[in-house]
Amino acid sequence: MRLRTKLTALCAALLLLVAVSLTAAMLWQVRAQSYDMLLESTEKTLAELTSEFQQSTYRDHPESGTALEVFLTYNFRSCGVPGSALFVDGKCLYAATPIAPEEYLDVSNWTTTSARAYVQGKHFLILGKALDIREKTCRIYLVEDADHIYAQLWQLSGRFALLALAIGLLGLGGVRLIISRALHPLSELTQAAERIAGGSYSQRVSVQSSDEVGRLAGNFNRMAAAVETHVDTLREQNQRQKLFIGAVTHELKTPLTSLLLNVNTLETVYLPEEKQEALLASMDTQLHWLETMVKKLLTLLSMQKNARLSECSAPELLERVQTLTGPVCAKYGVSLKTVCHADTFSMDSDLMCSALVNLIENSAKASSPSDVIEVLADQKGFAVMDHGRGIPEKDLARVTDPFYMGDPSRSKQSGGFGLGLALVKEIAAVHGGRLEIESQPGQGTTARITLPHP
Amino acid sequence: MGNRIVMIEDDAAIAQAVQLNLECAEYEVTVFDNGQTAWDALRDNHDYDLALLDMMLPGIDGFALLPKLREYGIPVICLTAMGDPGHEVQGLRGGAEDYIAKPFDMLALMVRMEKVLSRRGKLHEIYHFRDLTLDKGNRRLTRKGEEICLPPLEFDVLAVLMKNKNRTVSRERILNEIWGQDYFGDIRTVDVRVANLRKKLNLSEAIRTISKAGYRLEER
Repeated sequence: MRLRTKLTALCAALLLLVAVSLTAAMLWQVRAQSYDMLLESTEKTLAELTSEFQQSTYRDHPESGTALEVFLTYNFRSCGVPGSALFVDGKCLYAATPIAPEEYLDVSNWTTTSARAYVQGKHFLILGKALDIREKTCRIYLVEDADHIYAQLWQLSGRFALLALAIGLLGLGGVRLIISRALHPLSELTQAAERIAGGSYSQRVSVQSSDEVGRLAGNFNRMAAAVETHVDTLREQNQRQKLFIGAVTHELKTPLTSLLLNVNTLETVYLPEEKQEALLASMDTQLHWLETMVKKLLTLLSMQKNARLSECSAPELLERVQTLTGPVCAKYGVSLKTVCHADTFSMDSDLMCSALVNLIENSAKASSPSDVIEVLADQKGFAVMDHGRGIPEKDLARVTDPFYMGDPSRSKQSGGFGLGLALVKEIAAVHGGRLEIESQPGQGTTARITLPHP
Repeated sequence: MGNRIVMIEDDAAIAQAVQLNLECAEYEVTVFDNGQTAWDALRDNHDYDLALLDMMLPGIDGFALLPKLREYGIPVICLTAMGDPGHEVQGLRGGAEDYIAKPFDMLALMVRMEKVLSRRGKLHEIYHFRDLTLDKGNRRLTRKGEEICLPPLEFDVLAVLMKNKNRTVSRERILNEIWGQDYFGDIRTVDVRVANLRKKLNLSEAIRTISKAGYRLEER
């Protein structure tokens, strides 16, 4: 069942309960009042009857016996009050009542008493009074028909029911309207949730109220934003992975193609010996190329698993890097200057060494002969600075992508895979740091590996 | 003289292998390893029958070169590592005659090249071997200018062997080249024709039997 229906039903039940109890209380009150009024008028009639009867008995009357009884009966009857009854010494002398009053009302003292009776579907009000006349105890009863009270009550209750119904219906309509308005944000939330479930993650709700629903909407929006961010991140990661796999496939296809072609040629084409040897030599080169590339790729992919961080000395690392890059620097005619302001870092020295060698190789390739490449170690990490040709701004964001080469022809000639900076970036990430590259075309490049503070 | 082929491919190893194979089949091959140099060279000389074009090139890429080659009237076969349908459609829409994804088979490439050349009516089907000249179009075989008459089947087998000079051809391939893909004849017919050719043309050493592979017409 929908929440709106539930709440409406609950409110309707409450309204009904209130209306019924109010009506009942009202009717009770009316009945009591009607009885009071009836009692008052009947008491008046009884008082008049009593005084008239008493006065009539002051006149001459028989001393006693049957004559007295007849006398009293005659006088009482001549008072002519309908519904009255006279008992003398417990004996009924006169009764013009529809019921026997003495069964319902016991008059024992000299004041007026009253009682209600319900006999054979009729309501009666019975009043009684006792008085002494000639040493005889007379009891006078007056029975009044009370049915008209109930008829009135019935009529009233019918009206009340109609009124309650009308008020109830109106109230129900109002309640329904209020609930609908109160629950409207919920339906908006539901629709938004459905759209989000359907994949439209940018969906938000616009609920301004400050109540619980408003808070829920606020939280809902925050959740949707978080989901959107996560999905975007995942999508981006997925996209990057796809691009990476695409790049790997592409890079593998080229050497594979030439290997396949060469094998094919050796298999089917009759070639002079020197050409055969040349082909085999070229295949050897290609296989080595493939092997190196696969190794680099594996390093890239398994770095997270294999990194072993420990406290390593920065000066020692720089010394090692200087030795390792000696041949490269000699090849490009550049010199290396190391500055060390740091003591130790928590790092995998082999990986960090490989990262620095990579950066220095890049710098050497970009520099002109006799340039100086500076390697700096300070509290923030390592930096490699050159004064070479720099990186064009359009390439700067992508240089760390695997297989990205700013100028493919030059990079291929200088024997690169386009994996170097991707490796360095990954190494920095493994150390919890980042690779930052700043470059001014024509002025040089600074590549910085920032490491987190211990 | 064979067909003139221009190959624009930046990977030296692939270019070398393809060139070697094509030259064996009497094609004249010119290789450029850069889109820009190819662009400049083609401006001066665009007398080529077919272009083999790599799509990822330094300088000017293959997609940019395609319209230029079309302008010069050179049919293009794209060779590329970007083997996805999007690039293929882009290449073919750009006017390429055919599209081969790397890694490819040399034989498949050569068959496609022949198809393109024959569509363009540029396929030179004149083959030479020592002093023999075979003109497939006119079905003439001459030795030093003197015509030699051969039965049609023997002529066809010889044509296949001469076309694939220095290259091993299987018996099935010979049959396929003569009768098409659907022929399921006795491959020993090939052996009979080859034996006759060896005898008639004195080619008993030149046509070598390569065990389990087929025959090869070797020019030493």
